[in-house]
Order: sequence, then C-alpha cells, then structure tokens
Amino acid sequence: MGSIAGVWSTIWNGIIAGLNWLLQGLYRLTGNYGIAIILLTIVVKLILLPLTMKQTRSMMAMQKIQPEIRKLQEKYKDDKERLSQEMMKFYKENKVNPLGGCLPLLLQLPIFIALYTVLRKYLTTPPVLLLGRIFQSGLPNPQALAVKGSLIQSASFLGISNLADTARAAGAAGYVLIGLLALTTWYSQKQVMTDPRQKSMLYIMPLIMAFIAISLPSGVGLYWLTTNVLQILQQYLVERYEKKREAEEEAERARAKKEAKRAGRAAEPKAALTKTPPKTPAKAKGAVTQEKKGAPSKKQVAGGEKGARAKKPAAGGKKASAKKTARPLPKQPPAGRRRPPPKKK
Amino acid sequence: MKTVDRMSRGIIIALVKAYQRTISQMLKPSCRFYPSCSEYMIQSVEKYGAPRGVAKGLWRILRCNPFSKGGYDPA
Repeated sequence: MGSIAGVWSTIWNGIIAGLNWLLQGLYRLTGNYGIAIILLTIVVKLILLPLTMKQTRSMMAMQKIQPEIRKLQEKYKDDKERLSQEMMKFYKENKVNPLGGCLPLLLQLPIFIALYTVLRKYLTTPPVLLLGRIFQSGLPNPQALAVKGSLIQSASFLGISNLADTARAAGAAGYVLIGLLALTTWYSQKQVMTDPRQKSMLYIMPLIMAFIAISLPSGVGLYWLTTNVLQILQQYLVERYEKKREAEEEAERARAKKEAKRAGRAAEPKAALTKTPPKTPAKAKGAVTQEKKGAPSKKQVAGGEKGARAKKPAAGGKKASAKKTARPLPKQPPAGRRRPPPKKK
Repeated sequence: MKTVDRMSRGIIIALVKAYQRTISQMLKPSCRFYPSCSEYMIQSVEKYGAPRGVAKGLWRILRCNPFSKGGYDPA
C-alpha cells in the first residue's frame, strides 16, 4: 500500500513541478504573473483541445436529436433508472453521446488543484512572507523593499494587487473577477444547454463557482475565467463553422442542380432522356414536395421539345422556389452530364 | 484476511458514495456510460473485491472519454 501512495505522490509532485516550471517560464517571458497564468491556461486548453473538440461536436449533434430525447423522457419519466438505460441505448444507436465523459472532467481537476498549490507555494508564500518578515523585523532595507515591491507588482494584474491573495482580499477588482467568472460560467452553460430540465443548473453552477472562487487565490479565479472565455470562444467558432459548412453544402446542392439544368438545356435530346431518371428514385421525404411541383413540367419537357423550350423559363422559376424545400437531392448527377463545365474553382 | 477484504471494500464504497453525494452533485452529469463510473466502481468492488474492483473502476474512468462509444457497460 505504501508503494502505491509513493507512486501517486511522485506523479503528483511531478505534475506540480511541471506546472510550476511552465508558469515560471511564462512569467520570465512576460514579466507578469497574470499574463503568465492566462498563457498557461491557453496551453492547458490546447492540450485538452482534441478532447473538448470531440465533445463540442457531439453536443451539437445532440441538439439536433433533442426532440426524440424529449419523447423518451416523457415515456420513462417515472422510471429514472430505465430512462438512463434507454437514453444510453438511444445514444449508441445514433452514434452520439452528449457527455464528455469522466476523464476530461477528472483531468481538469488535478490541473486546477496543482495550480492552486503552485500559486500558494511558489508564487507568493516564500518571497512575500520572507520579505514581509524582513519588513516587520524593522530592518529598513531599501533593497528588500524594492524587491518586495517589484515582486508584488509582477504578481499584480488588472487591479488585483496580488494574485495569490484570495479574491475576497483583493477588494473590488476581486469581486469583479468573481462576477465575470459567474457570468462566463452561466453563458458557457447556456450555449450548450439542450435539456430544459437543467435550467436550474444554469443558475446554480455560477453561484457555486463564485462561492468557491471567492476564497481561492485570485490567480486560480483568473485561470478559471480564462478557461471559460476560451470555452465560449471555441463553442462559438465551432458553431459558426458548422453553420457555414451546412450552408455551403446547401449551396453546393443548389449549384449542382442548376448546373445540371444548364447542361440539360444545352443538349436537349439527351436531357429528355436523362432528366426523368433522377426524379423517380427520389424517395427521400423532402423530395416529395418537390416532385409534386417539379414533375408536371418535367413531363412537358419530355413530351415535346418545341413546347418545352417555350415553357422552360417558367418551369425554371418554379424550380428555384422549390429548391429550398427539396434538399435531399440525389448527390451525383446522372451519367448523361457527369462533367459540368469546368469553370468553377 | 476476510476482515481486511470486507473492510477495504466498505471503506472504498463509503468513499465513492461520499463522492456521489457531494462532489458529484456539483458537477454536471458527464458520464458516457450506464451505470456511471462511480456506480461502476461500487459494483465492481462488490463483485471482485477492493484491489481488482478499484483497478477495473479506474480503467473504466480512463475509458470514459470522448473517444469512447459509451453506453451500457455493467460491472
């Protein structure tokens, strides 16, 4: 049993030493502990990025299937055990899982505690206490005073005079930090909230965070705040990227369709042959509405070439309006016009 | 030996239950599996005894990351 504890304490000391090394290195680089902590947070976040990205993705997938989950919740609302089982099954079937898992959560915990230790142990306690003693012992050593001043200055950040002090002790700036912390916690939760039942969590979590952070070194609070801000930013960027990608896919489909039509007009006899096939296999739900609108004009096209030519503009206009509702178009154009004119790109 | 076994089981299960009642309440639910990692730890300690049960439980926590499928995974 003793050896296991020894291994753990070695690992733990290693983590703390590594974090301290990183923090001090960043401090030497920037000359300010506040900036060093922010950079440290960014480094930590970058290391965890593959994990969190994956999580963000699955959360977004989750939001899409939310209605069905609500149905499940309705169905098993009296049997919590059963509900979580069914939910798990459902997630597995849909290959999504909204939850990041226990590991990322637990990984952040040691980093957090280690930072706390580092701030306590290295950033302040030795020099400030030491210098404080010199100061108190009545030795008016101007050099010591200067050193103390510069040390405290380098540990001060945005109005917080010493990042190792608790936020409570830091005065107004500390409370601002706490307020921002609560606010960012609230917002980052709101960003990803899917289940209305969690609404109470939305307000409870920020309060808990604020309550805990108020008696921790404000440097830890700064770490927390930076994490939140980065999380919010990441979520926002991923969401925007996904939306853009979706819009692009939509545009791509529309363009492919237009292209296909133009090609069809260029070679009319061929068009008459090839234009009907892609319509008939379109069984997708969305295509039904399109079929109703688009099909009659198609028949006319196939029927008489002369008549079709006159009617085409009108049919085209109709199609354009139908485009939005009919998304699931067969992806590849039919064989007749596989290669659209290579003008794009 | 039997008392050691029973005691170690009891201590670990008590610890995990304490975690469930305090820390776990504050964190948002995040386990990808059913039963949750902590529940799994309790069950596997009950089933296999403390050393093996804890090892299995820790392994489960390691598996519980965004790259795993999650789902139903009893002890």
